[in-house]
Amino acid sequence: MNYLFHIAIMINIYIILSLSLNLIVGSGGMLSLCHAAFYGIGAYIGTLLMLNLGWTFFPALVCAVIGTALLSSIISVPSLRLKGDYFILGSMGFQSIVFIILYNWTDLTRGPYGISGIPAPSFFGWTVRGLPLWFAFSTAVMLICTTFIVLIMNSPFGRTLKAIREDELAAGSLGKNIPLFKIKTFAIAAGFAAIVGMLFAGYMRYIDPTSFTMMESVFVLSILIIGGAGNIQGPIIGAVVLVVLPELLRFLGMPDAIAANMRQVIYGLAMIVLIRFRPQGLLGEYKFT
Amino acid sequence: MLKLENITAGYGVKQVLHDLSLEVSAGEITALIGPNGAGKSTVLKVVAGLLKPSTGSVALDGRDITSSPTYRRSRLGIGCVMQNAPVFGGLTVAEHFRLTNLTPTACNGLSKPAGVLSGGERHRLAVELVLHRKLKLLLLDEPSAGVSPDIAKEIYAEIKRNIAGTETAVLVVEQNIHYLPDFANRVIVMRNGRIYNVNSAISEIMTRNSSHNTGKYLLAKINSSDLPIEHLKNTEIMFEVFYGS
Repeated sequence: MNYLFHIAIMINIYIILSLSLNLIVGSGGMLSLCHAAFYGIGAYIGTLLMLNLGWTFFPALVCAVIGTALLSSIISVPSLRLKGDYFILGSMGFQSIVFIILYNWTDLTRGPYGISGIPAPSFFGWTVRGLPLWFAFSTAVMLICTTFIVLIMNSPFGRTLKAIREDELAAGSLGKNIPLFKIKTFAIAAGFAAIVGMLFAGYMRYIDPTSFTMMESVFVLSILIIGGAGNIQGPIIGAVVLVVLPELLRFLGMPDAIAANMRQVIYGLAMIVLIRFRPQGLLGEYKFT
Repeated sequence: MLKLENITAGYGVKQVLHDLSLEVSAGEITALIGPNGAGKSTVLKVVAGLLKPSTGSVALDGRDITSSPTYRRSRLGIGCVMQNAPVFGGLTVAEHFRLTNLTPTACNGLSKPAGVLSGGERHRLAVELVLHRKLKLLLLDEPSAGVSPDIAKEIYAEIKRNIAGTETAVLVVEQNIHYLPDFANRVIVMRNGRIYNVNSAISEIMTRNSSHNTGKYLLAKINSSDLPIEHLKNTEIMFEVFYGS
């Protein structure tokens, strides 16, 4: 049962991550490969505030969200001049820089040793302990985040984002301030990623830079490619499929070492097949080709 | 109202507009005509802010907007419907209305994605969205392209009806010149990135009643003011103006 709770918690985490990336990729049309960097920045800001300054979970969460949203402008502002492939390269550069800082700034982040002993979230004297409670807590956070993201996507802001995705010049000619919309989109998505970072840190009680690598960004983007982008259901089904799929391999009696490689092979194959035959993913509305 | 001075602009190393100057007054409907590659659409892009000129200036109501981004020009009252009716394929018709803060009108097809609309429907939607705004200047890039002649006439009639009695100026690029006599009140001919004013040359041609070598003669004589609009109805003359060389 605990195993199933763990899988469900990871699904909740990746649903929020993929839905927030969906704002940038599916709604905004900007193929970004640095979402794990935002996720990591949020986790580290919150963790350091709790451990070094003795903050409780929720004030640290608010600060992590605001800090990550502000730091997202480091990538969003310069990348306004970049389009298409160059934008992707710029986002990969940002992802690498964040990883290198987390890995090498050992005085602050403890680098490859990671940070352990992260306190679990607690409020009104009640602490989230045990997998069933973590499942309930992560589900509640996922539902709240999903509701906000749905509201954003259906708001005038969300409609303008879609218009920018479809035709940036035409959206500009309707009086829409494209650079400002892109900066805001990154800030909002980074804020949600920071929430996930805090959730992950509190759940694992330990973080290190290897949880926030380029491969993690690729994984979150894979969720959108396979599940679909531009709507709500695509990222959700993608997160379920990509978290559950490797677990199913365990039941085939495959050794762990081989299963890990098989997972990469299956992702690659799934993406090639989907991009060829269903470029909008399983349930998405935005075509990646 | 709109003043372009000594504009030089192009794409990469290729210069399309050469030291072009143009003025459009409030309430005036000015048509730019000329052969493909003359730079007509490029003029609209420079005015809309979609293309930055390498030299020269663009002013609206005396205010220099040369370095203003597209959205700021739009907020100053410049509306544009560029070629092939730029609607947003992934948005429904109703979402297009809401995008421009309009209440969707009660009609069929509001839930249709704009991407599945016919060429005529897309043009109408694009025009309707832009006309609902309070405009100082409307830029139209070939509104008749890709639509049937009847629809094109309706689009022109709707635009004219909407701007009648207002101070809105229009700068329209059109290849199908037979739509212009009923729409424009000033026509400017462009060739090779420059404005050619052919008034006296055309008059001379008309006087000579020459039909065979009109074009060559005309092109040799091009040096004067705007093209009188009534000459647009003389397709032979216009053909020679465009292609006679």
